[in-house]
Amino acid sequence: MRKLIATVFNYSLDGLLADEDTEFWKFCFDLPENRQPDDPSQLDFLQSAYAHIFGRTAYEGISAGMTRATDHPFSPILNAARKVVFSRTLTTADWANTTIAAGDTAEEIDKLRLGGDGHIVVWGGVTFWRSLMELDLIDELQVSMFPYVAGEGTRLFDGVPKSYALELVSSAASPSGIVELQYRRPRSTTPAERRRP
Amino acid sequence: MTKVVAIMSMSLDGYVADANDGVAEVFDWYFSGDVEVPTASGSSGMTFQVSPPSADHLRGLVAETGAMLTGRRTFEVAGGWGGRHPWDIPAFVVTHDVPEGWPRPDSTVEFVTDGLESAVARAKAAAGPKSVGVHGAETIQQCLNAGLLDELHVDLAAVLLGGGVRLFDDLANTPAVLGNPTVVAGEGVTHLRYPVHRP
Repeated sequence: MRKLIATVFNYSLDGLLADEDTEFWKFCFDLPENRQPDDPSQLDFLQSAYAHIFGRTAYEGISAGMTRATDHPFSPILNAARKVVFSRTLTTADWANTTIAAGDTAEEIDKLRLGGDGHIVVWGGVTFWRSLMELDLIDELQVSMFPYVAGEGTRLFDGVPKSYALELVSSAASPSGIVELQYRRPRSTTPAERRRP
Repeated sequence: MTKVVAIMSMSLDGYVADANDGVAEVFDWYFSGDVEVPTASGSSGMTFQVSPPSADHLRGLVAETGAMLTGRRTFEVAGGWGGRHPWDIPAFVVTHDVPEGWPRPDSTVEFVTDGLESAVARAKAAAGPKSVGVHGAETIQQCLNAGLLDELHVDLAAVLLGGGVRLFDDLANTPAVLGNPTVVAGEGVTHLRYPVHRP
């Protein structure tokens, strides 16, 4: 079964996400390694994904950005990759190689993750991300924590349904002080077993 | 110059204690490794059981900390440390009134009733060339807001709590850019140390 790996960019030490057009947002994209992310392992992680999945808001923002900024290191990878946007209202998705998943979220995820190995990258946005957290479908978290106390913003972990320990896989700082954290959600049973009453 | 360093364990979602004031989850890393780190010789000390990278980190932290500053809540939760902080350093408690039965003879716990700045000054004097550690969410917030903190030291525990006591709450002077952190990757915990730019 393919793993769902959520990427959380622009996370502050106080647990907030950078909302567009805030000082925090500007701070994040002023850091060179965040403006032009060219770390080979990160690019390989994106390149080797089975699929990239988005909620509607993230899809609209990222598709516009990646089709416009063709010199961004992610652009050629994402433009060519298999993409799925989760939305019950979108009727068309113009970004190349994109399909729309309009059904039950858990069933749509199963369609993507069953029948193979590898990983699926979850891009967000926060509403989509929270719906996957509530369904406990995220297997790994990759969090970029910025050296910043935001004070205001969108709280990423809001309404986490229950407390649980994560497995810390790795942590390292970038030259500008972004701490890259990788966590795994420990699983003692398979999803099919968990769903059994 | 004596540095003032906040020291706190925090969950990935930003909590230093769960909804019942419990700290077992965020403190788990202190007791889940193979290396014993005693905090002081003698009966007042305690012994941590941590992973090798955390042991190095913790030994350094204990060695450089010359006094501890906390709020009343931390003092109460710790039962007054039996009159002697487990790191065997003077502890200063910021409080409105001195609790009944205190100060005690032979105790190295002191109470400061004339405000935070006075408490920081007294802790600095006691620490001498070493650092002052600040413990407790509310006291750390007050130090941050008053521009009294030099470093923010967060032991980021690999756990989601979903609710409880937040480390970063009621902050003035935000947003705030921090300096680049030093990062020590432990097992189940990431030790982060950020320089704080004074507002």
